[in-house]
Order: sequence, then C-alpha cells, then structure tokens
Amino acid sequence: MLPPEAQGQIAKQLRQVYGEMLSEPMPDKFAELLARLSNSEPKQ
Amino acid sequence: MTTPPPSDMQKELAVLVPNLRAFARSLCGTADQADDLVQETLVKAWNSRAQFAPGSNLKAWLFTILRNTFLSERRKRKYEVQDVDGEFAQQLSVRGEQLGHMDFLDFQRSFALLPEEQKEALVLIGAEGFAYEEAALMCGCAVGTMKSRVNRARTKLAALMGVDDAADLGGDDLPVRVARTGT
Repeated sequence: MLPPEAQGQIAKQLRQVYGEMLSEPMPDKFAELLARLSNSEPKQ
Repeated sequence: MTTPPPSDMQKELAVLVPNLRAFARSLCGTADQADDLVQETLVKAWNSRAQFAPGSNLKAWLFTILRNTFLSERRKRKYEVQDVDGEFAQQLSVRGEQLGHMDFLDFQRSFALLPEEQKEALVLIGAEGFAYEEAALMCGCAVGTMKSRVNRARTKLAALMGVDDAADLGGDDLPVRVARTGT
C-alpha cells in the first residue's frame, strides 16, 4: 500500500496538471460548432 | 416537455468543453485528436439531447458519450493511442537520476505510461471527482474494479516518479505545501 504522503503528492500533481488543462482558453471552433448546432434545427 | 431549450443546452455544453478536452487528452495520443473527439462528442450529444434525463449528471453523460466514441473510433483505428514503448525504456533508464525529484513533465510522462483503463480511472476519480459508483457506471465495470484501477494507477505512478519510498518524501528540502487556490 502506498504511503499517504505519496498518495497526496500524486493527487496534488494530478489536480495541478489537470487544472492547467481546464484553464486553457477554449478555441473558437468549439463555440462556432455549438452555435451551428443550435441554429441548425429549431425542432422540439 | 423534456428537451431543454436549445440555448440552455448550448450554454451547458460550452461550460463543460474544457472538461471534455482534458478528459479526451488523457485518452488520445495528441491534442488534435482529442479536440476532434470532443467535437464529435458535442455533435452526438446535441443530436441525442432528447435522451438526456433532465436533472441527471450532464458531465457524466457527456463523458460516457466521449468514451464510447473514443473506443468505437479506435476500433476503426482512427485514434491511435500514444506509442510509449520507446519512451518507457527511456523512462526506466533515467529513473535513477530522478529519485525524489518531481515536476510536471515527470508526472505527465509517467502518466502516459499507464494502461488506458488506469488513466481514465485516475482522471475520473482523482481529477474530475466522480464517485467510484458513477465512474464504474460510466466505464461499465464493477465498483471494486474501479477502485483497484485507481490504486494500481497510483502505485505505478509513485514507482515511476520515484515517490513510492516514503524516505523520498520526508526530506527537509521538500516543504509540504497544500495548494488551496479555490474550491
């Protein structure tokens, strides 16, 4: 079993690396895609 | 009326794009493939939005779509998983110099060496904060399997990063700092 310190270090680094990815600016292509989708069909 | 108005759904999807991109990048070999996968996921989610149960977890639903898309595309060899064989040997040979030393690159290279099912387990539980039960449901496995994947992922990461020995962590030169940059 992994010592708690090691678990803590790994958890911290994972959240840090993942958090950096989360805070990257979203490329325009995603907003454009979502706009295209919602304009494509006003179906209910 | 069960389908949310288009504008609401559009907004909710937009909010989760960063999470989808991050999850996709933990599965795909390259950032470009990951973004293709996210776009495909958004189109599928949009087209089947009537099937989304209002009030249930949208992120879990989207992640499941993304994951299923990834798996089925990979069966068609569209998304190549990262070839880590060469990197793995390299990692083993430099490991000795890196004992007790950790940085982002170190973590990321180590992470890249994990088996796919362990990567996704670690991301879903450790980074996205899903409950084991939710993650198991998303991956179609038993809760116990999910727990053991996370444990094996942590153990392997610790070995690759040289932090599996508690002695490597206790040095005076390594202040234990708890980063609280928001909750």
